[in-house]
Amino acid sequence: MNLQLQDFEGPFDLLLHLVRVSKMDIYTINISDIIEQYLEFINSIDKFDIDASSEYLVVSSELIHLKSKMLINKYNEEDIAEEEEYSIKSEEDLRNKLIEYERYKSMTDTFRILEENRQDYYTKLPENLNNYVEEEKIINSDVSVDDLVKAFLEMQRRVNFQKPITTKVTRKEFSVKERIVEIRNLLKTKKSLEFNELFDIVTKENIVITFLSLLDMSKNSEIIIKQDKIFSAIIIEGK
Amino acid sequence: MKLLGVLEGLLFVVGDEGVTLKEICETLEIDENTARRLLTELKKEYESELRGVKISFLGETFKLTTKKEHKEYYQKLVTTKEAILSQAQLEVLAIIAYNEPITRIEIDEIRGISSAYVVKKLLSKDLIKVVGKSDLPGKPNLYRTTREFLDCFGLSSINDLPDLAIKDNDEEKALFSKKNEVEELL
Repeated sequence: MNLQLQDFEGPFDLLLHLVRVSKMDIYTINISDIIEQYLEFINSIDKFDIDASSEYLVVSSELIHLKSKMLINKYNEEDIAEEEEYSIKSEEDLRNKLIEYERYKSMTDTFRILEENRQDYYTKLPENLNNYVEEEKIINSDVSVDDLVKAFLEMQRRVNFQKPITTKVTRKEFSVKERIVEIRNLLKTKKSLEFNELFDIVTKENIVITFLSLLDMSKNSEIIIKQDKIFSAIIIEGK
Repeated sequence: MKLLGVLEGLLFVVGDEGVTLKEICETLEIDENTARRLLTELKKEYESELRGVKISFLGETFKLTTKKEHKEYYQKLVTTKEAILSQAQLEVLAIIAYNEPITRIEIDEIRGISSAYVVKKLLSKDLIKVVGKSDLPGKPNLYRTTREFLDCFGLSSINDLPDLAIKDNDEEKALFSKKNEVEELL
């Protein structure tokens, strides 16, 4: 027998092959004989490629476990339930697994034939109808020049949001100290401020610095931070 | 009749994507009965030996295909043989087709080996698709075969799958053989 792991689709395939070679049927074959042959085959591989064969090894260890169990208590089926961590739970379980695998494996020949038959006639790729789609769109929609202008302005507004990335260099000097002075001045003119008001410039930098400033001022008891109830507006008052 | 020509053109345009009865009705603005009648009429015309195409119902859609009996002529044009599915791919496809929707772990359990790579390959070939998540731990993806899968095997719908070899006396036999062994061991 000159076979290699590459000839099989997996440990079950190998097991089925061994069953076939011994000219027995899955229902009647002696499971320990098959386990013996399986392990023999795995041991006979000289060049061991761990990537290709790790799954065969997992099944090897499962089979060794099963075999030892069969030797120790042949009839005790009560502890089958305790064998959760093993995927092959009993002799019967192994038989059933092989039977189920064989059912699907035997279908592949049928599918192979169907696939070949389908190649006896041809079809073609769909036509590209995109040209028609776009033409239709332009004719049907009533876009006016105004809409275009609006869209353009909207786009400009969005572009503005992203600008700070390029102007960062000048903003670098913006510091917590400066922001505290700014907030102080605001509080002088306005007695109380809403938390949200301070974040009118939506840049990461501004948000962080303003927040730090508020924490700093609060720590120095310069301001009182109030909130009437949960999720309501946060009010900042100068002392 | 004018609509017959439109239907023929429609089938040409959609190519291997095919067209459903409903789509034919919508495109030609006709009811289902008329659509069926037109399809049969066109089908009959194509049956003539003078015609090179026919209407096939594959993957739940109608498509124009060439005729089987002309294959020798076309095969001269084929320079590279189309990649045929591997044994592993066929196995996984069969398991999915008969059990859909199914998770990859369940496929692995039946095959006794990881099918991750094969599943990926089949996804990229559009033969299977993800149709949602299972409630099993980790919420694994559920897989199903596609219309392309049906077409690939020349099937009209999933009901056309060949019967899965089920031996009725499977369980009985298993029980029986088990009993025999026990007796032998005794």
